[in-house]
Amino acid sequence: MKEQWIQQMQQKLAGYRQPAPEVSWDEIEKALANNRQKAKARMVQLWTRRIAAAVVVLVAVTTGYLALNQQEETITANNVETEVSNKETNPQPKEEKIVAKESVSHKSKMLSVSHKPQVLPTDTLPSEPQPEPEVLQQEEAVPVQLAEDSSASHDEDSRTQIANTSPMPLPLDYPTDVRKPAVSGNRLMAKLYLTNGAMKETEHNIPTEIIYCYESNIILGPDGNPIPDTPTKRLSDYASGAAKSDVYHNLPIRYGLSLRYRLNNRWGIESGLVYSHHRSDIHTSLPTDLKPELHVTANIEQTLSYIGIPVNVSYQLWGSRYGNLYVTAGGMAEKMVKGRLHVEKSEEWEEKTESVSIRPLQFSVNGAIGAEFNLSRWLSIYAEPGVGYYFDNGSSLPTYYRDKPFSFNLNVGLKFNIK
Amino acid sequence: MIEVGIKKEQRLAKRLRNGENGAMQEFYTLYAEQLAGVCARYIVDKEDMRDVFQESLVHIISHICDFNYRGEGSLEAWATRVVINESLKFLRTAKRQELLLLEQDTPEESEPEAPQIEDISPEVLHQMVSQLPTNYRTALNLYAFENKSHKEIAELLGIKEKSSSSLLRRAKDLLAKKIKEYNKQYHPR
Repeated sequence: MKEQWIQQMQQKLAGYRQPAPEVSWDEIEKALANNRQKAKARMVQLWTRRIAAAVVVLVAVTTGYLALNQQEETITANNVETEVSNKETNPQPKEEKIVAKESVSHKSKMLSVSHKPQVLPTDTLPSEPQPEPEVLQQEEAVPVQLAEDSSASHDEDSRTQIANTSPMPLPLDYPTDVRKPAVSGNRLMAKLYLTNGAMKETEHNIPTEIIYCYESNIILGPDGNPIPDTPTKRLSDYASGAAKSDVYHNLPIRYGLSLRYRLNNRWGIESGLVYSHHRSDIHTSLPTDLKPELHVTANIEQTLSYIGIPVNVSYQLWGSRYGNLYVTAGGMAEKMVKGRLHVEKSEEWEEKTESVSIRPLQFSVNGAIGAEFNLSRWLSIYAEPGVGYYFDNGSSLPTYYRDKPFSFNLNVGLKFNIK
Repeated sequence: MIEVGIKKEQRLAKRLRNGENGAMQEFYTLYAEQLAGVCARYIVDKEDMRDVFQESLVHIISHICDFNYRGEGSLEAWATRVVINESLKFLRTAKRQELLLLEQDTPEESEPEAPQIEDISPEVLHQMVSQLPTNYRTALNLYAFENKSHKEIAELLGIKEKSSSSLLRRAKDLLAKKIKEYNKQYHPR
């Protein structure tokens, strides 16, 4: 409890005022500009870090998975070879046995498995030795066949049957297993793509009040160009909820780079980085009934840039060596990294450019059906028509995402099979 | 410009947030003297006080987004807190030694007898507070005007709780003596 005289002093000095010291507005401006720059740098740094962290996690997970999978492959190879070796004692048709044995013994060499190739009885050897290049060619295809079959049952008989259907000697430019697509051996692929909204541009009205309530600080007010009788009022002070603005969203364009990892023959997982560019034209006009002499119009060009991280899962519906059909679905988190409003006002109003920002992340989900055509073993082109749904992130800026939460898009690009 | 009632501060804050020309000048016209009065309670040296005051204005403009309108007077209260924080920041760095200065050998004294302050003008009272040593003055300001406890004062100044209560007792004692001397000289009864 404060002493009475201290309380009296507090009351006495509560409203105490003294002439303010003369401050330098130039210095204040400089300090503010400096603060803004620092804050911007911090934001950029923060997002660079977050994106870097996401990429590191992605690479680590992919590498870890690859390493684990490599081990499994080696183990599977061992098992298969042992099975084959055991079967050698059973009477088998000559031709079948030769093919199966050949594949597996080469495989064991390639993976440096400790099992030495079995010495075959002379009567099981082919009558003519196989030419060396053909043997080498087969080596490329075998690990794939083993790895893929490891997910299914390791049925030796089925493999020998497959081998049986292959003409002898095997063609030089194809893998052993002709049922599989030509690129089935590649687990990791990189995608480079371009997406465009497939929906017609939108145009609709939003209350003018929203235009003025941007987080962004757009000032449509005179700022030195006086409106009669109200030298310091903002234009928004005259705008009511009844006033309308037309917003015209251009189709957003998206550029992306991603890595797709195939989990097995049908399933794959994909992630990467996406850059989106949005442009909207806003035409606003003040209601004449409030202040007839103030009937001015303003054209605002709003450009927003986003960087996003998508995560998608894909499932192959059909595949051949020429290409495949698949469906893909997933989600994406996007951060607006740059926003700009260029305001052009009619008559005596000046032009002005403001920066805007939307803090919350933009989350979305999407699904698409894709068709891929193999141009070569390493390169293919694809097209994915799809749909997306963008969740409301509470932004008051009229964005394509906010105004068109459900939209169609077309994604076209190149895929590089890298491993 | 005619601004009405309770929305005045809210609107000014919005204009400051929008970086409008003239908004800062209006803010300065409305609150500068009040804020200068608060700043001067903490910082006595005129040059230092100008720097801290200016730094406070920079902080107010650049952090206006953090301000939430909570009724009339909230903008002034928020700006006052900014000024106090900036003042304490300055004292903690530039006047660190003065803050830590504590006469250990001063004997413990009982609470001073309450002085009569009715006849003393705010200006004189302010001057008396200003004349207190930095550490006494700061502790007294936080206690008397910001209603801070010993513990809070200790945390704000980066000293021990025991030291803050000791500082405060001596500050009150010294101020009471000054008031009594003044009264003896100018208002003999």
